[in-house]
Amino acid sequence: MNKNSAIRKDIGKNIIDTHCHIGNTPYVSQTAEELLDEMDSLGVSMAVLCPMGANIVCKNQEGNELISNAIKKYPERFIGFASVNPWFGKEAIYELKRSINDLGLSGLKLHPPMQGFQANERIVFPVIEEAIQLKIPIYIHSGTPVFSLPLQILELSLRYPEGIFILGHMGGADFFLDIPLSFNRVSNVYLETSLTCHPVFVSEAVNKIGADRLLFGSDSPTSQIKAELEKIKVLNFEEEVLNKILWGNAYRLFKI
Amino acid sequence: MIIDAHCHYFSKNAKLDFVQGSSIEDHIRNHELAGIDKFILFTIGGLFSDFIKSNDEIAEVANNYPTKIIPFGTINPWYEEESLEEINRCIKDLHFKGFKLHPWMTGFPINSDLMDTMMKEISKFNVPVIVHSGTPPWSEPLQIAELAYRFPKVKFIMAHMGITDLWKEAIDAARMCNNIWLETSGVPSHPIKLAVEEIGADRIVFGSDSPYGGQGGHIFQLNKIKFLDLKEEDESLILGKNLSKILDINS
Repeated sequence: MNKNSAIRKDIGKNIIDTHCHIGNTPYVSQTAEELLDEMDSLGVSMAVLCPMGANIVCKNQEGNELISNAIKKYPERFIGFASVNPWFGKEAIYELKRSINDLGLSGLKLHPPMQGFQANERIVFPVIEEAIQLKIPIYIHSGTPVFSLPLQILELSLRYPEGIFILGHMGGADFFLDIPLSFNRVSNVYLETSLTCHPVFVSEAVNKIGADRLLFGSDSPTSQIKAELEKIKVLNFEEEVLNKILWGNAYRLFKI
Repeated sequence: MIIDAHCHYFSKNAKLDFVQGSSIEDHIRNHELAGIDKFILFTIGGLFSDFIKSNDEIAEVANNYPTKIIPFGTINPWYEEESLEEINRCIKDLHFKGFKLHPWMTGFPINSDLMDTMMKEISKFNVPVIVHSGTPPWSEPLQIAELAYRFPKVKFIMAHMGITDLWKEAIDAARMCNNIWLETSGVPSHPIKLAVEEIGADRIVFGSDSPYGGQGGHIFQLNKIKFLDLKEEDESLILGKNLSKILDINS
């Protein structure tokens, strides 16, 4: 098999990768430029940047500024998401407002296991309410028991019907099974495809919940954009569905 | 030679409506399309229903495709007497080459007295055991490592190498126990590369978890490895050479 056969040519150049990271952890690291190289090699036009590692857990200001600098340097290519740890209370609210109003970021990323809370518990409510005030989408990592299971995020989205939520990784591996029969009951949750471990999970989400709710993402650098695109490509979706997943829904969500 | 360490056979009593291409003919065709030469096949239904009947079904399809299918059996440690007998029947009568265990689906803790009884019997034969990993509370990599530590002569294949959340722990488990091999289905790209660096390509085996991936699942799981641009020798160890050695297959 040709190593370079990954991407079908007719997928086009409008792909938006709705979940990437820059920064570092003890296991992975990535700069904005490294990510741009990978995007360019695959025809990915834009990517959503999130902080990673300590910048999610505690050094939120530093991470949000790193993201801000990258989107200011490459405004045509990147959309920035801020991360704030809800346990910082009023400081978290302040930092979220600063990130959106002053730093130019346009979404909130929460990572319950790294930030130490259960996705639908009280500590996160003020942050969710602020994100709703700011009219920004809220991305929440999912798939990790006991902190971030899909049904906890479903409950949160029912509590806050005016919020726009993105279910990161669609439950990851085994907890995808919680999704197909339950998430069609809400209309304010998008499903993001990175790390969900099998192509058929994506097609099942399209069948049961609808192509309008899917967002392509890679979680680069933990996964490769190339491999994550391959996961979508092997499903042989009709063009309309493919376009929605790879960029159409993201265009609408981010008002591009 | 490319060998797939992880495939399920869906019999009539175990169908998930969203999994397509689960007949044995589909398996053979999809593996051929992806360029995979042989595959380890075990039950899905037997992981939560009649394991003895399911093992019979595996034996039947494996007999029809002896050059393609490497049959593995399964047991349920809660049925102690029947399982001890079944271990012997699988190896001696059905000529199976190993066992698959799925602690959360079958419903037992992997590092328990229940399993020790089973492993004492399995360890009488020189066959590998593949165990689902990555799902708390019963299939965590370090729990599997505890079992592997107690049975150092048995070769354990850690399916999914911790999947999305526990891949760091899976690499640690393989470092702790040199009788653990990590299997790549379901895990993201970077952890596989990290495992090559940390414990070596000779401890990693390719798997697809088909038909769970759907009809393109084999190609996706295979290309995930190929896209890593590993050294040719490392790639060939992962894609087949390691399993050839574990299973004593002459290539």
